[in-house]
Amino acid sequence: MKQFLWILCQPDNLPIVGMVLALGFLLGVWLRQALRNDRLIRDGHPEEIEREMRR
Amino acid sequence: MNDAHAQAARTDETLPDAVTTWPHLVRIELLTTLVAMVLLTVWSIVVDAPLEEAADPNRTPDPSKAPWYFLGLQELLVYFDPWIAGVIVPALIILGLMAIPYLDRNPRGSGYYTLRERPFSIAVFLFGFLGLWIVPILIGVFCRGPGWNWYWPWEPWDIAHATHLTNINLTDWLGVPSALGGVFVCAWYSLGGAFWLWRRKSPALLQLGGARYAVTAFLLLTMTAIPLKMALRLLVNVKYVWVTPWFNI
Repeated sequence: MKQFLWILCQPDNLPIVGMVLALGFLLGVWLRQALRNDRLIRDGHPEEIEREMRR
Repeated sequence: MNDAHAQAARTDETLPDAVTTWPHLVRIELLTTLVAMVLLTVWSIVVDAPLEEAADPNRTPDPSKAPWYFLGLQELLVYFDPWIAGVIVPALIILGLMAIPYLDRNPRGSGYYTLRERPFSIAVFLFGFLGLWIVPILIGVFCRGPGWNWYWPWEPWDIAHATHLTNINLTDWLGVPSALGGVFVCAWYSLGGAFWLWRRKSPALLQLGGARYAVTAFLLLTMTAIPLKMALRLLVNVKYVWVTPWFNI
């Protein structure tokens, strides 16, 4: 664990840590919106997608 | 002229909330740029750059790691010939990305997030980006230590306990002539032709057409061959599948 934290805290590796956190967050945003849009299409309200994007 | 555009946008019933790029968007972009510049300036003054000691030609750092954006390719060098890992694969990545607009015939899911409308495209993209780019970078950062040996992230980098692996070519492992390696590679890519023969009447392949299918199949088979080769190397120490005087795969 000490070794892992040492690698994590290396200055050169800080962008990687930031990238992984940003990646996780953005994948979450994408998945949430994608599932919502799929639900709207399935329920027969595809026009709601564009309306929500413009809101 | 800008006033005429603004007036036209305001009277367009399909765009009730439309505003003009100037000044609205430009103002936001300018403010964002200024904030980013201030933050970067403050950060660069408060935090020292992570410079190490002066370079010593008599002492090579071990491990000598590339910047994070090249670590994926440096990791690929473990599994592939430098010609393949350093030239062919990066070129295929760039050409493959450029080819996407010409290969993608699915009109749905354009301009909004979705899963069901574009399952194949999304799966291929996630496999390529996460599996073939991000994962090798993470392996290069966390799992490679002195001598570029494999160390689990929690293992100390103790070079005295590093195990030296004996790698063997696939053809030597199977006890067949090395020229048969080419047969293995051709057999792999012929899977694309076999799939075409099996599913050539399906609507998706009919829409794609022969040429697009050939390019897509080649790129997909190459993408899937990479983790397969990585697994062969990591699990059974297979070095190369096909050895020739000019290149090794």
